[in-house]
Amino acid sequence: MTPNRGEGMQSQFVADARFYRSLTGADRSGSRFLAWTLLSNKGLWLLTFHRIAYFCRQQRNRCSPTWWLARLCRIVGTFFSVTFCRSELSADCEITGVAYLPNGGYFMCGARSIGTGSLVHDHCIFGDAVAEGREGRPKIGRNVWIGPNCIIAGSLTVGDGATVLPGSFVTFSIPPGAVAKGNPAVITLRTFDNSALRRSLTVVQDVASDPP
Amino acid sequence: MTGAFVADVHRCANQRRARSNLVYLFAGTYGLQALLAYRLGRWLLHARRKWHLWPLLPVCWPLYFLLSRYARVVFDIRLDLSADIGPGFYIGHFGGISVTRCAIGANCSVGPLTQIAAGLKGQGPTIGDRVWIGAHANIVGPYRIGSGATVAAGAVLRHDIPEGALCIGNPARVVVRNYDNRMILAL
Repeated sequence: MTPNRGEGMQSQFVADARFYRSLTGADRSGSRFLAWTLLSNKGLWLLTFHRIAYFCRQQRNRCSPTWWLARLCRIVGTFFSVTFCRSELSADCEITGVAYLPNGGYFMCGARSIGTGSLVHDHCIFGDAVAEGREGRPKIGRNVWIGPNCIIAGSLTVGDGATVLPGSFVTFSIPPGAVAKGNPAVITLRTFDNSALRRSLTVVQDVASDPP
Repeated sequence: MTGAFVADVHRCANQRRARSNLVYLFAGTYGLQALLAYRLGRWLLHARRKWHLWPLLPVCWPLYFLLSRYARVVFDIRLDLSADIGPGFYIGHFGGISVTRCAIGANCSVGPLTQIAAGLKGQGPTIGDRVWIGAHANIVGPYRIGSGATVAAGAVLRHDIPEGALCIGNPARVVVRNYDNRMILAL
């Protein structure tokens, strides 16, 4: 039995909703009810559709009714994630824990994995690179904050606790806890604690313009 | 126009080798659906000048309107009729693509969230053949892009791009003079 089946998957849905409520909850002008969280967050729908699609990929037995049900759910989920959530998330992207996916849409994700507690804003694109030697798909670590309009391309790793400022174009690996910005990106800070950024959905324009 | 659309479908089938079925290809590729509306609209502009095709116009203009509105609302792919797009155009992903007032050569491909439009003076860019334009690229203004050039993701063009060059960054600068993009174009 895979861990991501049955009751495990249901509790995963609840954990996602709780994480979204912690970001857009009662103290942040939202509601404390989980149902309202689900209604008001497109990103949560996207994450839910992705969990279903990821579950479908594990189904190998074509004779089972689960496979057909999963296939149907996956087609419907893909359609709604494009038309309603306005995002594309490749089905083999591995989101093990909770992660915040944007409500705003235009989040095209071809990443290999997104770690627990990461926060991704809208208009972000994770995908393949153009240059030779860099072909592949990025790996997003845990507790990463990624601002809007970012492009992360190539076989690279964004380390745990890293911060990618809005509008960056990242083509190389970012060490854990660092801050990257610019197009093409440079690392502006080696150590930065982004827990304050991750606590709310506010976009800070430039936190590292003057490195100490 | 029919030949151009057939070239689009062939290009798309080359890009996605797994989908050999034509119905699957058309249903799974949002860009192809948007291109169908665009090619139909261009053909209708052409048919306006042929008097023996006039009976088709009252049927086909509403069809074009519906199709283009569908591509615009559902997938957010805006291919304006003022754009002159060559055969074999490939749109890999949906979302935020707007192509207006420009001339694009054959066998080009664009990524999501790309803006190709005229600048303040009203002159649009001229793009050659076999140009690969990445995601989030911004080509606004009367710039010329040579054949076989590559515009990397996130590039914002401020100058002309010579033939076969690779440009990145904001503002875009040429980093490789002779970059071979046949691999990523999948021609």
